[in-house]
Amino acid sequence: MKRIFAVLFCVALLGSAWAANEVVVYTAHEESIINALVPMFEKETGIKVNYVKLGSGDVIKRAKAELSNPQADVIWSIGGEQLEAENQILQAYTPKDWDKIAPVYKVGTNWLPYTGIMNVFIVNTKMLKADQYPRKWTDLTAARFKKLISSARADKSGSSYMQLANVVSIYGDKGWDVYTGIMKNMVISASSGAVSKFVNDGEQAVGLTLEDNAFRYFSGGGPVAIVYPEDGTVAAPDGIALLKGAPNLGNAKKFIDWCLSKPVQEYLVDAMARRPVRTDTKDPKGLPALSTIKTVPYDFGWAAKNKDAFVKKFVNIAMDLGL
Amino acid sequence: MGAGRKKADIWALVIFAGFAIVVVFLIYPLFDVFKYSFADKETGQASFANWKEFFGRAYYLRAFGHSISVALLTTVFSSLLGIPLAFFTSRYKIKGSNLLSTLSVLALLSPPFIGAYSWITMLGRNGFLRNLFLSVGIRLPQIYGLFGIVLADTLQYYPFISLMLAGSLMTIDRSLEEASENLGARSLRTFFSVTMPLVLPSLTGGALIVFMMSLSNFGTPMIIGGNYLVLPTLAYNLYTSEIAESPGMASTVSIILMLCASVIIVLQQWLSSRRKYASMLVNRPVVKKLKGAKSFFAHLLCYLIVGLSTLPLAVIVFYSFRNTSGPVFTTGFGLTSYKQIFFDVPKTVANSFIYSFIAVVLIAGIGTLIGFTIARKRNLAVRILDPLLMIPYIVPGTVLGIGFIVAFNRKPLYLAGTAAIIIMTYFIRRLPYSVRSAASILKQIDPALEEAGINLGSPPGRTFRTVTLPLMQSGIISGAIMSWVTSMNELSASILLYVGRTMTMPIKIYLSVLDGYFGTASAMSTILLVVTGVAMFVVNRYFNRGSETFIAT
Repeated sequence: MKRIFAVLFCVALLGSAWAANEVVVYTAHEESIINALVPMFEKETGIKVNYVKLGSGDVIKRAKAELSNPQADVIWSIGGEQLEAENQILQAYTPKDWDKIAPVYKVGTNWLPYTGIMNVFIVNTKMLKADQYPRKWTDLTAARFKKLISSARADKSGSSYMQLANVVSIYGDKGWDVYTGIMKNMVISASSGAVSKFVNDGEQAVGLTLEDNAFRYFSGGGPVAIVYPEDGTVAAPDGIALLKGAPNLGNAKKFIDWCLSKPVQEYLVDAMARRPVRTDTKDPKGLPALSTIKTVPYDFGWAAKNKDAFVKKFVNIAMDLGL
Repeated sequence: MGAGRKKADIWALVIFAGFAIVVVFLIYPLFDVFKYSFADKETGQASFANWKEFFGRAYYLRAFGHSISVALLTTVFSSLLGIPLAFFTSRYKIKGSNLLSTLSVLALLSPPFIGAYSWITMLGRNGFLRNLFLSVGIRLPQIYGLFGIVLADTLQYYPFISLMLAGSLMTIDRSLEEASENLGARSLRTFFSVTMPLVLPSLTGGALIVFMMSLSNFGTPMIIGGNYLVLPTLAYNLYTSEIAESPGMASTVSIILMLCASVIIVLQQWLSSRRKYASMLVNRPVVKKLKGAKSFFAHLLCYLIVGLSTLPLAVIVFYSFRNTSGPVFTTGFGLTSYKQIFFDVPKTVANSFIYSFIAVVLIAGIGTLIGFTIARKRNLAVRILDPLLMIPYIVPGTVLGIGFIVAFNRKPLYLAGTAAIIIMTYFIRRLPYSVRSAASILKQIDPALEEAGINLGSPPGRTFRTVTLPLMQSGIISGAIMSWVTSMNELSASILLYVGRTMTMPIKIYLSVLDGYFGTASAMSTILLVVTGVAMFVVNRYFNRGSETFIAT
């Protein structure tokens, strides 16, 4: 038995002694993006990336739980308002190419814009004809969409919170009635990443998701279409940030610089249909120009400040609806 | 006298170690989590606010009702599948029973997230089986909700019953059944009035595991439940949503969950201790050969049960070879999904195996020793240790994971980010299975055999090694295999504890399903299934030279 403990102990030691030339990243990025980008970074810099992929709420939760003994260096690709709300666990950093970042995206405290994201509806073209598509957020409250709308929970998913904030910023206090109406038609998905999948598979007719996620199903040849809500969509950056007490500070900065570099931003545009935050990088092919889409202004301070209250209100409504 | 003292020392040490493990890896990490349940969310003062909210709101009570329904129905249906399967495969010659046992263990192994997703592709709104039935005019019920959860859970967990039951069906004293038949009882009556009472501890033990697994499983209801909330999904939602707050409500829900589980455990203990039977293991049951129609129906039944539970696996394998374009399945077959995961697989596979192997060695060793003390030494310390060791049964993985993050990321035990924390999670979550399995086998071995050894002058330690251990061997192996299977499958706690270098296969699969990449998730699951199947085959051949290991131990 002693020998077994000895082995166990050695394994534990090995585990902690591994930390040589590395950077520890917590991310809500899709697995496919991580799998593409991480080897690129490792090859170019020789720095090993240790990543943990979680839902964006879990990323924050974990980073906060570890505050007394920080394990991670960088938070990579989670919603701007979540970073804004927790900016006290982050440290400010000015990246190498700061002057190339579009000013419209420079909205964060202690965090940096990473890509431009946008709320859209993904619809199944076999279940709905073009004239049946929802065109506005208010259309989604119609009884004909009962149990046909796939969405993640606004208290768990950064993108779902952005959708809620989107509706409330268009309609003010009435926005809550609109969103409650939408919730009555929802079937909750375990994660925002799976929303488009359910619509693609014909399990639900409409999904509330982000543009790039929907576009991957569209360009993959799935029976889906993307609808930009005519009453307005939020276009906002998701962020990348340096954690306070980052154990591998130098590597973390290199990682952030690299993520905001032109080749990586171009890669995100090409492969993932994300909109770039750099002024010298073009929007993805096949997506309408930002100027043709009705966007609504999004106040990060407001979205972050009200997050607690909104999430509580959401949870209360969800409980009453049995979601 | 000297022998008696030494005996007391050895087992006292085991009991002490048992207590140490419980305190360090259960009570210490769980304490922080539980104290939140009695703290006011806003002020942090001691309060019953969370409890009042739970019992004052229909939302929570409904989830409570859902959980009980799911666990009860799953246990009933698992018994309906597990009992006949165990009986036929252990008593009659069933062709390919080796294959059947391997497939049913593989069903246990399929990670719940992807198994549930398989059922959606079959019976979902646009599922191919549902469409097939629809084309001949049969409208199947909606998969989302109670029906889907019970279906997926039953077909995953029933092997717990068939495995444990078959184990004791093989070891009961055949002469008791013969006596019944000689007295003129028909075989069905013998089965219900003699055989069933004899194997009741194993049956209720298996049913207990099924109940616990379905009660605390959050993967399946998460994917297939739609808006049908159960307590674990509720606790998970509450925990992950209370971003800036103390996990008060989540803890309260967890404690309620544990209370339900405790009631069931007490019930099972009472059921299995009401009557005690011991066997000398001298007259083992023989495997009979069936003929004609009887044989046909026995085969049909066994293959139907195992076939149904293999269906989700077949779907997984099938989908892993379909061509994909991003997350979308396209026409034709190929290896695109396998190519996509090649980047991360070797390390992830190795991690899964190394961690679960180390954990299982610890589990089998320590679990057997503790199991022995529980079955044979009923002193006060053991009576306290026994229920304490049941804690992992009733602690949802998520809650344990949270406890571990908090407790082992500070002095005196920094384990965050290491392999050791994952291994200890496996160890502590699965230790009770090994303890139970060792204890339940021991209940069937007459202590007279050990006493004979001691009377013949062998010291207790040696008696344990030379008499008890060989008698328990099959039980230990089956317990270890179950622990291994479930450790390979562990997700809900390790998802909260892993870092990049300690990624395991279930985590990888979960992440892919979460992103809607069912192709890569299937490919990863297929690799997990193949690797496990091969490992099981090797163990099978090595330990038992034939068909017996998984169903017969």
